Amino acid sequence: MDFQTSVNEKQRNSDRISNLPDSLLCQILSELSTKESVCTSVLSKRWRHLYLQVPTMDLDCNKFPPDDVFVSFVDRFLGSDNHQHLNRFNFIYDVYDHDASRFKSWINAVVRRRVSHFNLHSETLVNLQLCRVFLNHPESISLPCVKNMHLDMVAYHADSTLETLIASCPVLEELTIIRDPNDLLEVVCVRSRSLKSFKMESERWECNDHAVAIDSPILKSRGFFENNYARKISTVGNMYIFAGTVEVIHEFCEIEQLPQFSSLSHLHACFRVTSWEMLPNLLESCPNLHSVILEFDCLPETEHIDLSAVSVPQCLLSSLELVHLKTPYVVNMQREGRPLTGTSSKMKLAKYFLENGAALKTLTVSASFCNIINKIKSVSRISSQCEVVMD
Amino acid sequence: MSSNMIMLKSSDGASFEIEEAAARKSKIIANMIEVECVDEDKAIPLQNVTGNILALVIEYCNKHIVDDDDDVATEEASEEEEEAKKKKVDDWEAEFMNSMSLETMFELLLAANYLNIKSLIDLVCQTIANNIKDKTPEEVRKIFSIENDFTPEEEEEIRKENAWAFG
Repeated sequence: MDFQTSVNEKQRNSDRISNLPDSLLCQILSELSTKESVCTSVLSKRWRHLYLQVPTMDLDCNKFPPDDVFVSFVDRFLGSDNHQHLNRFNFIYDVYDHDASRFKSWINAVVRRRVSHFNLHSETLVNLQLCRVFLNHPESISLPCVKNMHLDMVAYHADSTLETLIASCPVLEELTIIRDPNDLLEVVCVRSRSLKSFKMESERWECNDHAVAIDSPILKSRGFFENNYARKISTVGNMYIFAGTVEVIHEFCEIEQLPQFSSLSHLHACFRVTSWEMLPNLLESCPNLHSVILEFDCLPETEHIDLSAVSVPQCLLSSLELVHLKTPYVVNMQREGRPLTGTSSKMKLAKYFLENGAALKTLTVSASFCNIINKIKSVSRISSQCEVVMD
Repeated sequence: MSSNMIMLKSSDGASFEIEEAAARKSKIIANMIEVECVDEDKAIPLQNVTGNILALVIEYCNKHIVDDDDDVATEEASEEEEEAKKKKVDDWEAEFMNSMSLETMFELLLAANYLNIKSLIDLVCQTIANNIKDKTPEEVRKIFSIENDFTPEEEEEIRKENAWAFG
């Protein structure tokens, strides 16, 4: 039966929906946007205040008229007489135009509403999304049920602000940070016992002072770091770190001050329009690395790089068994008038691992190495059981 | 898996046989089974659910118990398979909800609430919400036979209070 027919048939019937208990009506309203939910307040007296009990909030301050309407609505919605827990809190608020301390009180109100139903935490979920917000001293915040946090172009009072915000979320599982070029952060520090997935995007032009530290024992998917416009040769353009069973991962963009990633067993690093001369440093900081995938989006000729000038990293001497080198097959990019074939760089990389990898079992190279594969195979290997294969 | 069957009895006296695994979709029934207050020979009386609604509940539970099994067995299934399976379930649910009147939908929601079957509550709430979405308050009143008990002045006042939402 289609909907209209059923409507006509039931026209004279009693109003079934209004007889539902508040909890079910609120769940129905929670499937709507906050705006649509608010509109139900004119249906009848039964519906007058229901929208204030709805456990979700989807609001974008940019869709409000430029006055205090947004602020007063949020004040009312998060009002203290409302103890309904919040399942979903999706909040786009431009604090530059508003009052930051009020924002803090809202966040605290959100927290309060969760805490009052703390025993439900396994079934409830708070998604916190902040966009274009300036965060000031969140020390007093605790977000005991936030599992997903999305920080889009948020600016922070200090490095510790972000650190504290993350520390306020003891069950945080997914964290996305999209960085504002002016977010005032020196080091992005992510410490979480619960974090499973971390994604970060950045669009800074200059990123010499740009560092990321991750300390998260069960981070499962990947740390993701991207400088879309980074052109400085001393920086890592694009770096992935996959962590399987690792206990601690630290991820740094800049090569100085690399900590020891002593539990890291698998590293997947992508280099884009950058030099790889920091490679030994990077490996040096991963003393127990078992396998590594190195991808080079474009591999310039790098005569000036001499990998043998630095000492051989610990992992090459003892633990590194699998190395996979990948470059695109066709490199037709022109840079400074020179074709970028990268043959000497490829050879240098392959030689570096074969001559130093004492525990190496397999060196896999992508098909783009085909012109030098025979040369690579003839390199004398320090590890007698090492194979060279092309994928 | 054990295929223990249990009996459910509706408020109007109809009896239904259902696999225990399917019946466990209801937290209320699952709890009864846990504390062993289910007598194998006796039907569980469900005083708030009529036979025609209970039949729908059972249809839903039977459908979804299969899906849950699949989830366990094929944890490693490929993304496409997962997607295909999800689409199959979505299609079935859309058809299931589409086949019933609004009246039945509310009965089903109350039954799901009483039996505490969360996924069914979610499904029905979502379906009802879809019928509110993108409609004017006047249209919503008409669809659900909601009587407007505000005076025109009162209604005007409420619209003013949240004028941003009615724009």
